[in-house]
Amino acid sequence: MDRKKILKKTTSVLGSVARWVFLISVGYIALYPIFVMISNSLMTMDDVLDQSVVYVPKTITFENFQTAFERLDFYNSLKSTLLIPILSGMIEVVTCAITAYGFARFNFREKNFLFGLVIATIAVPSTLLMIPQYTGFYNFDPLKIIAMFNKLTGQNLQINFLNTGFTMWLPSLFSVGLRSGVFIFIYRQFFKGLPKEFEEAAYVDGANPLTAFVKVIVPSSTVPIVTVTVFSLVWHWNEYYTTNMFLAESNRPLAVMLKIIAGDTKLANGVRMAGALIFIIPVLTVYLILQRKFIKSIDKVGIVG
Amino acid sequence: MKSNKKRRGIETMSRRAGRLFILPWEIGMVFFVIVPLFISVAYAFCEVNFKVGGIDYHFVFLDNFKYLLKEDPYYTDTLVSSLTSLLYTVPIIVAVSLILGIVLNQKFKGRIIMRAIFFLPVIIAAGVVLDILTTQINGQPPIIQLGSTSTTMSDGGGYLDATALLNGLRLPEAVTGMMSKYITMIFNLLWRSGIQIILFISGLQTIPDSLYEVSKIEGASKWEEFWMITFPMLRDVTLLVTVFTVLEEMVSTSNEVMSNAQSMISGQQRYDMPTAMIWFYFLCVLVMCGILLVPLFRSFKRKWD
Repeated sequence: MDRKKILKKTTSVLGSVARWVFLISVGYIALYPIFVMISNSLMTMDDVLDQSVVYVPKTITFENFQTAFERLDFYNSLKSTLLIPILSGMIEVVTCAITAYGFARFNFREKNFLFGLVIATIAVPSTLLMIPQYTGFYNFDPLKIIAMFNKLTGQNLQINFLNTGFTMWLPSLFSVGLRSGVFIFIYRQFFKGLPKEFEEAAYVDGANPLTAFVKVIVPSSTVPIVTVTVFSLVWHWNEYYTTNMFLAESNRPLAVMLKIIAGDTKLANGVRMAGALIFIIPVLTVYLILQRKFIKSIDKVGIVG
Repeated sequence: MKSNKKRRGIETMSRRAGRLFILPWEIGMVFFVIVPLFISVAYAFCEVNFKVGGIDYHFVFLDNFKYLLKEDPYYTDTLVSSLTSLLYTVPIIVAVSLILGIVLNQKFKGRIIMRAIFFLPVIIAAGVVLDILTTQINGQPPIIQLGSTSTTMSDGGGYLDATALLNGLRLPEAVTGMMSKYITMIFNLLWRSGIQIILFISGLQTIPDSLYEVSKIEGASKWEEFWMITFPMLRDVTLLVTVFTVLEEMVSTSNEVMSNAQSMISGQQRYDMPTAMIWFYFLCVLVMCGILLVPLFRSFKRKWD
């Protein structure tokens, strides 16, 4: 009996030691680039070339951060980041929920086919869509109403959405923005798991589907809302290709500015690292604030294929 | 009779409400995805020239594809290497994230912190920061290497120290070369499995504890438990993760076909050839997935149902 206990204890200790060795070694890989970024961004050029300097620089300098700050045009690009990609990310959090609710709760004939299309959109690379969308935004007239109006009246009206936030807001508003397919999927899985009695009670009280959704479903869905918000914020913050394509100099978000710095071979490596740090610090802070809730919410989303 | 009528009423309402909820998505889908997608297919069969005031294109049918497959010196090589790298990166990513998901799902002190660390790659790896970390500048080796096809790691491997570590073991050079290559590969793969880990954790959460209790009473070992309970219960999630990984790897810029196409668009302002490149690549991936994945999951299903 005693021996069995000891054996059990040793295996459990050994197990947790093995787990920690494994987690720390893999966690090191995840944290490694951050260490390097921090140490490189604080180094002077001499320290970078000095072979004896490994992580801790001999003289700590903040010059790199200053240069990176100026080159990023931090305040302006932060403003356009918040106004264009981040706002469109927040719009997506709302619109994808609405679409997903339609897929999760109601029955109509073409539902499965359409949901297949939602999944298929995950596979469409934005590279393919960019040029057609570009020309579409340059002369925005999807229903050809303006063209007809021009023909009838002989005027030359044109709506040009390029270099405005509409290039990102409009697709998000119709829940076909950046990675909406993933968000619709996450929401739908959660909504399907909610008991039907929730809304039935509301229907008895005379609510219509929309009020039932707003008053009953949304308040009990903090879990997927937090998950989608975190992902949406991170992905929109990082988005580079579409913003680079659709937005001109005056509206460039941080990601595009960082990319420009990254490609500038004349800059010292420390400046690029400092720029990268400045870039990830805001999103990292938001993540650290939300992460407790987020990690907990992962536990509950229960995404099952 | 009466209740039948009432039920039909509810069904109609459900149909109408469902269609109403997804209506915005349908509109967006048509104007921002399907139409641009068709235009891009058309471009693949055309010769496209950008000029002031519009786009000039004329139909050349299969000429773009013929050029790519017969005359382009790089395309077939990059296509083959991209496809083969998909063949081995996807299973490894799925396996690595499954293992990490299981470990991180266990109850132990500090798992919240560990999960937070493992989410870091999702934040960083999604964007421009990764470009900075992976590009070589001013003769310095990049901080991390992506694209497991790269063999340059053995030259500049000082960063991970895998080579140095293995050299100490006095193994034959061929063996150390191989091993350091695989260690580096794991390093790279972790960077691409953030979301997959999250999906697996949420899948693991849905397995009822009672199943494990029963197996414990029946005297099953941990190994049997994994193969008889965990893995079968995760079948749907595994399918989801696999599909998601294929899609991510397919459109990621660490993939040579995609990065070549992208640089052709932004560098040479060409659109016809890159779309043809991407579409042909897509077709190959689809065929490959169809051949490999469908029978695999069919056989899984037969075994466990």
